Amino acid sequence: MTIGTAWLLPIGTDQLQRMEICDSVLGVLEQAEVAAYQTNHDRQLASLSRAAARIAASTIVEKAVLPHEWSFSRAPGGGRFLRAPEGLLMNVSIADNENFLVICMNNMTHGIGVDVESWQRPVGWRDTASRFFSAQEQSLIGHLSDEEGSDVFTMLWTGKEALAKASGKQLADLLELPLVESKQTNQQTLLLEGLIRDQWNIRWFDFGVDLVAICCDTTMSCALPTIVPIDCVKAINAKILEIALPRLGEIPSAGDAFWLVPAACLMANFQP
Amino acid sequence: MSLKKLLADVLRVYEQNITVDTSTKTLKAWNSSRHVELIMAIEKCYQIRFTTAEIVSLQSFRQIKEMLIKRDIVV
Repeated sequence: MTIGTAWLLPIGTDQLQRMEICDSVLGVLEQAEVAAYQTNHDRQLASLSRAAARIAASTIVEKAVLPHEWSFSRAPGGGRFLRAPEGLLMNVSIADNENFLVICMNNMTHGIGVDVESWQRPVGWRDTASRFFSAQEQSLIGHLSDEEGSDVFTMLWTGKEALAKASGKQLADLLELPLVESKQTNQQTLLLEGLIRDQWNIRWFDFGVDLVAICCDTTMSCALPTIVPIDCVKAINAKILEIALPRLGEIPSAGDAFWLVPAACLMANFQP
Repeated sequence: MSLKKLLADVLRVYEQNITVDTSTKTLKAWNSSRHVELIMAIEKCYQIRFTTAEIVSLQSFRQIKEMLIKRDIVV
């Protein structure tokens, strides 16, 4: 059975200051990666993201696995894996910016990728598009106003980034891969329908100031998560708390650990 | 403009945060979109052009500096 989950966590200063709780669930490799960051803020965010990924993984497995029991490793291309003591392997993809931390994972043999970018117009986006994007994409962007064009640029960029993470390839090698077709003439089409390119399914999620793209391999009939109506968020959070909290029992200060559960889980777990 | 100042400006960090060991693995601000922005800024500043393979390989201040020195550019 394919299992997976996608979490979106608003990043707040309060959360980042609880790093010592995060560190207690991390493995040696993760701790080394966290320690390599130069600033406290980066170390805190890196620690939070890795700890949250472990907790997210613990919420979706049938047999209880405590967050600190997962074994973390990386693929040669940088892909992240969490392996349960009994061998279940989870592909993990993490993205963050100043507002959000997004974590996606599944247990497929193929990857999953996620990216989050601000809708704010990127510096030099037209130059970047004309240097790196496909002719189709350049043509599409070339016919759009600055506002529309930069939005499409952001969508294409996040889509390519998510695809790069899912496929384990370098982003620079995928920038020329066209993500638009002739019928896709505006970002609304891209946003509403998502995209299937080769075996990859890419979907975009608009969170107001930021855009999230998630890419998943379709050859194993893996479904992408959908945005949950805001009315359902509380129910989902309650369910996550119900599952996650008992599994935090061996973590020091576990009573404070509930803050790691998404404050606003905008995407549902997916189990096709 | 010094290479260090250029990196700091593009990555929106203080210049003292840029050291020879600064890389995509030590600075979250050095993400993929800023990396491309940085590459294009370096190309413009030093009037050079990187290949795709070079763009992928340039993941730290040290690597960028060494690449520029290889091209006889004083940084």
